[in-house]
Amino acid sequence: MAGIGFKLRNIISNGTYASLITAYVYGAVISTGPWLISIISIGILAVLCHSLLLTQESILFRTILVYTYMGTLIFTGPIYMSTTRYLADKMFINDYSAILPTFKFVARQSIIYSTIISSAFYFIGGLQVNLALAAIVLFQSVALTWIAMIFLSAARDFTSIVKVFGIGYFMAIALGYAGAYYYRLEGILWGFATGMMILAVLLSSRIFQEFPSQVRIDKGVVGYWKNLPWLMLCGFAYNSALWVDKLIYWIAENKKAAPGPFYAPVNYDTCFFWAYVTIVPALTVFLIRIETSFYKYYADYLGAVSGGATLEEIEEKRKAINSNLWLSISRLLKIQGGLTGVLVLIAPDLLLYFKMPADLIVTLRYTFIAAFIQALFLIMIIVILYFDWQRLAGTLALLALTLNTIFSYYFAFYKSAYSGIGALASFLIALLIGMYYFNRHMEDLIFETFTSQSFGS
Amino acid sequence: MRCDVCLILEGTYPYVAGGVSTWVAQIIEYMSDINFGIVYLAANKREKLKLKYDLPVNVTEIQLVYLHDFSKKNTNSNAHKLSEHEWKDILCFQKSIVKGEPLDLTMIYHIVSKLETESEFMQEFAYSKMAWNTALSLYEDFSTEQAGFLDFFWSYRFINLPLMKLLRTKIMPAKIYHSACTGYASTLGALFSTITGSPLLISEHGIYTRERRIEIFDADWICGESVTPLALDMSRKSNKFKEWWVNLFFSLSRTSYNTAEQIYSLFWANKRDQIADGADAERVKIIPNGIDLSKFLSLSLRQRNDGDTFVIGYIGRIAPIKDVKNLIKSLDHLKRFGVDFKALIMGPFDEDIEYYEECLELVRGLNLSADVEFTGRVEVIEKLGMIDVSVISSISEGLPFAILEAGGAGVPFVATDVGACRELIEGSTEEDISIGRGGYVVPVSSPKELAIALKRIASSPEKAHEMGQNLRDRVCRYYDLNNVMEQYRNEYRKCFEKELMHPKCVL
Repeated sequence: MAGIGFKLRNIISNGTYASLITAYVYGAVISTGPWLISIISIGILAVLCHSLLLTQESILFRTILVYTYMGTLIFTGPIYMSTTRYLADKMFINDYSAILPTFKFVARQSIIYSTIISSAFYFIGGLQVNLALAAIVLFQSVALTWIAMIFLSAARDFTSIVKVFGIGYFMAIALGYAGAYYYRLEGILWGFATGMMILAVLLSSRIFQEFPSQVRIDKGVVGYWKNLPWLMLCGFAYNSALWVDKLIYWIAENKKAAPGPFYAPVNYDTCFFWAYVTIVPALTVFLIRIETSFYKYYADYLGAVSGGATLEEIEEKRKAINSNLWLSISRLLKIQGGLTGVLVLIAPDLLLYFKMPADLIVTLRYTFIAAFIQALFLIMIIVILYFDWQRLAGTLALLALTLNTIFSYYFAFYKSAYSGIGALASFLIALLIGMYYFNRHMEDLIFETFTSQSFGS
Repeated sequence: MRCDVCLILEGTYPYVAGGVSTWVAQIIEYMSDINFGIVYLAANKREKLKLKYDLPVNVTEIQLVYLHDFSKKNTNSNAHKLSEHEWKDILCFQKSIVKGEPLDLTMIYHIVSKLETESEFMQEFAYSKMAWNTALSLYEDFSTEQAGFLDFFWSYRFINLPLMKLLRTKIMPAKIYHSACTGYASTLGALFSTITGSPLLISEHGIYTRERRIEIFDADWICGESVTPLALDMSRKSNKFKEWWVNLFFSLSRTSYNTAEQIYSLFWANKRDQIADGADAERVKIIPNGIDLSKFLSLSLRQRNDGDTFVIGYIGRIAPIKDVKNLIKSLDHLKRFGVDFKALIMGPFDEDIEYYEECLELVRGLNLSADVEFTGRVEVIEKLGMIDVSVISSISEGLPFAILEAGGAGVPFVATDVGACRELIEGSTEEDISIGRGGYVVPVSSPKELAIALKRIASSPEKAHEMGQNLRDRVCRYYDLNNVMEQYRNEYRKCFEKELMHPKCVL
């Protein structure tokens, strides 16, 4: 017959819609438990070893620990975001056999690069060789711990992760204490590093048990690293933004733990440390809520889109996501806002109780509020990533980093009485700008959902 | 360089074999003194196009246009190149499609020409906020139907985007634009013709809009298993989407008919349909298909004596539109009538393997395996000398070459009453009818009627011989290729002469 052009079937059979289930939230929830364990363990170890070490030794140990956590979190941040995405995509198509081989690859890369970074820093910085070696082992181990967490988040086996963390940190405390007892600084550092290495190995072996696979190594994740620049940027900038103000205050106060670039932690960190502890419970609750309730609304929305609902029905589902989100946030504002308010009020008593210098009162109050704002910022980033607006997330994280650098530098060097307000202001501005753009994206959600659908094959 | 005739083709010569392709090949070959340019409309680059014909030297140029190649979104900018006013015009245009009205092609041409690159075009028409808002405005027309928005959205994209792409096609300068069907091809021809002032000729073998309508309303693929949950599902809730698709093709036909200088149709029934679809009766002319008789006249026919097995030949593609199952069912009746026969089903089956397998299954189910043979693709002339009757059982046809070729060889024919089959077998004008019948015409999808017709031919070899001769006489008189081509040459000549007298501006 005449000129039959194209089979209509070919046109239409391409309603491929990249449905996306992200595991960012799980990652975040699951990280808080271990994070608490880490903080508490380090505190216990510090108390236990107080009498075994000289003050200067104790300060250097704490300095190396803080550097390790800062360095590993910034280093693994970008890997965390993109690898999580890769695993989520693999699990969406039920390809669990890719998890272990991907872990092997990422772990290998992590060990290689963390060795290079930490060696360069400690050796060029001029730390004694035996201490430097222990610090490098510590850096590799902690980095590997974060990497392993990404993969174990996939298993969604929260209790076993916490158990392994408990065992690992118990070992770290025991070995650290024993080390301190016999060999002082060298001993505590090697002991703690060994404990962390045991933890990394235990976590890795969990991955081997959970996700057995015949495949030796899977480098597919490299494509994600290359193709998700905004996500990588977000991971890097977010973690850097959380640390940059601390770094600036160390430099500003210029207390050295050892010759070279080894600035000792200062009271500013201590304030933030306690402020962070205060937001952990509320944050965890909120993240779990997102996972259960928010996800349901989002899935409903996608279901309406793909189930042939009318535009009006889809619009209703969109509004439902929004109102659910605001409900969760307003609850958080009430609960955590109330808690933070109380903490701000009783800050003088807290200082007294914990025997901290009384002139920290202003800083402590600012940091309580700043920690709260940072928690809101994190929640916003997670929600944005849920919708896969990577560019927005990356830009906001970069904005927070830039503002925090500028503000903290200004206040640290010129207005030291207002310590903490820099971090507070920068995250607050980034949060407000972020919410403005988030709302705009949310208004356009249906437009974006539809126009981003690929024309397929 | 400006070519003499620009042929605008879709789904045919030189990449797809078939009736229209044969006709195009004949035109190009016969008019070796005329230069042809070809604009070929294809779906997308993934569909590998392979030449099915050797291109003669007088084909000077081939321009490929891909209507369904859509580039991905590659910028995040929401910049608009087109004004709000232009988008209002686009909305009017798209509303005309929904209603099946004729379209203002030049208006859209001037708008889409402002978008220089493919990605600019896609950004504006597929990904921009303006395009989205325009789609939403159009959706209001469907709101009373409780129409699923996803279905709407994909229909919107695939009805409008290819057409917009089509109208961005680089103009091939020519003295005559000639399309071998309506639809996208003639629409492009209409645009070229309007912009350059050269005339548009349309040769329609089938009726494009009706074929599309069958395809759309008969679309079992729409709710098939292969369709993903998000794919367009027209069967659900509303037929408004199906109507929309049908109206698209209707709009295209009407637009082209309005612009065309001449419209050619193969036979009376089609002419009537074209006029019903909006073609101006004055401008519709019948020029049938023709075959090169020299190849057939010398063929020696099979002489069947009483008692010999009756050999039935089907020559054509094995495809649903040919309703081969109808033929197989009629063979079952024929067997029960006590006729000793052998049926050869000759033709390619790769177009729709599933259907072919269903046919095989039917043959087995009816216990006809010993009587029916599927031969695959064959050399037609050889086989015509081996059969006593030729048959087609289609639900839709144009002017089938199968009947012309059987007639050329003197083989009687039994066909369903579609397209030009009746005109070919019984004649159309009085003079034509007086030649005598060349076989039988039976109703569509009536296996028993078909079996009765076959039995009548089987029962009287003399009568069969006579009908074969009648068919041959008719084909020689009206369907000689030389004759047909001379008519087209005349049509071209008229256009060339007109242009000499009133030179048009050349791009």
